[in-house]
Amino acid sequence: MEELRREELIELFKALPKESFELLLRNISIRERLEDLWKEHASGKKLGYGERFEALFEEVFRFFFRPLEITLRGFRQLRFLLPLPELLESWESQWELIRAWRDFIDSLFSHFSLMTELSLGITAPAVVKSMMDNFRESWKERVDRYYRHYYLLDVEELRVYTDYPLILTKKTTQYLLNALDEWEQFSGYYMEFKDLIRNTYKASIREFIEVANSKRFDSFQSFRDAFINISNQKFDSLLRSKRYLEVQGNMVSHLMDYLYRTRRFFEEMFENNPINPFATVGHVDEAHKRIMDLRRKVMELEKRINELEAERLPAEKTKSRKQTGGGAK
Amino acid sequence: MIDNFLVEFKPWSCEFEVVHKDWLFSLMHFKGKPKYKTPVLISYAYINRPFIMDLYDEVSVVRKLINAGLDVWMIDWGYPKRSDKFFKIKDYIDYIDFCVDFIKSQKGVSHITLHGYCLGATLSIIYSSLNPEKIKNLVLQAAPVNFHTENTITLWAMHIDPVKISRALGNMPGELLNIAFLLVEPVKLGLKYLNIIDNVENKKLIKDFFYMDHWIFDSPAVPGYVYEEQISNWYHKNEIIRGEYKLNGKKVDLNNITMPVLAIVAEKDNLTPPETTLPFFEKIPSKDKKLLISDKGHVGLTVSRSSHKKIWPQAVDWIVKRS
Repeated sequence: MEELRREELIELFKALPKESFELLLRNISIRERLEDLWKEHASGKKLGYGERFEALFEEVFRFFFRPLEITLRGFRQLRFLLPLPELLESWESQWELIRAWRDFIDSLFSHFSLMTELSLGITAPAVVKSMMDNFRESWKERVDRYYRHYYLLDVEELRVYTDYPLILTKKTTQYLLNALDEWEQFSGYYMEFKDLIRNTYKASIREFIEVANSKRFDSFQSFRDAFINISNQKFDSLLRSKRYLEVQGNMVSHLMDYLYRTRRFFEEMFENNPINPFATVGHVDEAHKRIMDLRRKVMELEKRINELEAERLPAEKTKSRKQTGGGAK
Repeated sequence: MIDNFLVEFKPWSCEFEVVHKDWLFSLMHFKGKPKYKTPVLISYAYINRPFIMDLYDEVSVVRKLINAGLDVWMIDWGYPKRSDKFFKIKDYIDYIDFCVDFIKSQKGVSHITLHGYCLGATLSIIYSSLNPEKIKNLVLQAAPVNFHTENTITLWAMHIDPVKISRALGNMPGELLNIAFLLVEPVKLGLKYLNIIDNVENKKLIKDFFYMDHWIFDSPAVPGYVYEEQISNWYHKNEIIRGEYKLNGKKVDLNNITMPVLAIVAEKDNLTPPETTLPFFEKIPSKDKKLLISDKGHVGLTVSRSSHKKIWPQAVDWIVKRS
């Protein structure tokens, strides 16, 4: 198959479902690698497990591993959001030095600002300030006033940060610790899941190599089909095996608990912050739940009203016929 | 070469009108000139899009029904969002009931033909057992009723906790379900594109292939509570076939399935193999029941040209004779 040009790839990406696009491109690479192996086989050489079969594994299974590995790496996000205790402690011990450095930077900045203003006063023409400029300046002065005031308070801000496990509520830290435990469990099962798949792939390749080296496939199609059929049989056994079912079940279970507890950790943190202006997913979920319950009640009532209407109308017709004497005749 | 891959995707070959919308769900009515009195309501599975029944002209089940003179309606279960997490199976059954009543009043009939496909067939069975007087004929296509089978996807379902999934993700995402469906046969399905790479000049094959792919990867999420019920009550406890499943406190009694029943199963179906339907088919007391067996898979049953030659003419004929 002729190679797709770069600009064509973008067009293809726009036209196809994302999954189809990825699998198609991977299949093109797989086909090339299989064809190389087939040529080697057709020339009478013996096949062996090597880089090309290893590369095939990556092409076939990347699609399945990626979502799990994203979650596995998501742990770094959690780690990144939390201040490193050792870093904070190091900062705290050198707090005087840091403060001196900050004062020096502030002075330097003021010096340059003053110099620039003086220079502009001498060299640049006088600028007529608009009301808008005056407002911006007074706004800045007001905010700076609070900023200066804060620093005069001499708050031990780093101490506050290093105390964060004690600042958070017990429930919040429990969610965090449980989330980390779940992540650890999930990562263990994921590695086993990956090993089970890799080992099955290797076993299927060994069997395929044995077959290929003991007979001659007369076409690329039959060579390719044998590769697919042998792998398929091996994977069918694996995916139904007791250990695989346990590993996959546990992996999904710990993954879900890790996600849930991480979310609850953040939710607890936000919910306990009195100036947080945002509703959490948990809050919104609860609102949706109540709306759904009310919706069902409204629908139930509407249905009952319709039934009563349906019962009332024929009864009224009969009554009216009786009153007009129509029914009696 | 790339031009052959740039398939313009336009599902739905038949014209229709959306006659009712209710939050997530909607009811569609196909245009046609019905000759028969009994309307057909199609309830497709909520885990995929219903246009598979009308993917394109040559393999459209809907067109076959319309051409036979039937009045065709269809439920679209929509794309659930996080806010739809709390929908329950009960809400789906209530909407079927609404649609049935709506169609009855529009067409002035006392009952209809209900045609369910995959999990939409499970819903149809539940509905028919609770409201047998409203259903004239029941058509079931790849219907999972007995969930204790040995196919891979069932074994996986038996080893997961759906509450943990809905608690963490809100809904069961369609993307996750797709990965699971592909992982059932990772090498065979992961390498299925090799065939079209080798037939790159065959425009028709490529069009058919990518139409299917568009459908496969257009997967709505399953509302969290629905997913919990489906996995816990249907898969883990197998409540429907055991006669233990309850909806609104009412038992779903399969002994109420006395109306004519047509069951269509596919021998190579790896999602809902024939064993998921056959025990139900044998169990129901209906005196007028027919079984059609296709040699295709779960989706091939609907969109393969051979099914449209062998299976669908028989199925449509069965419906027409009872309409």
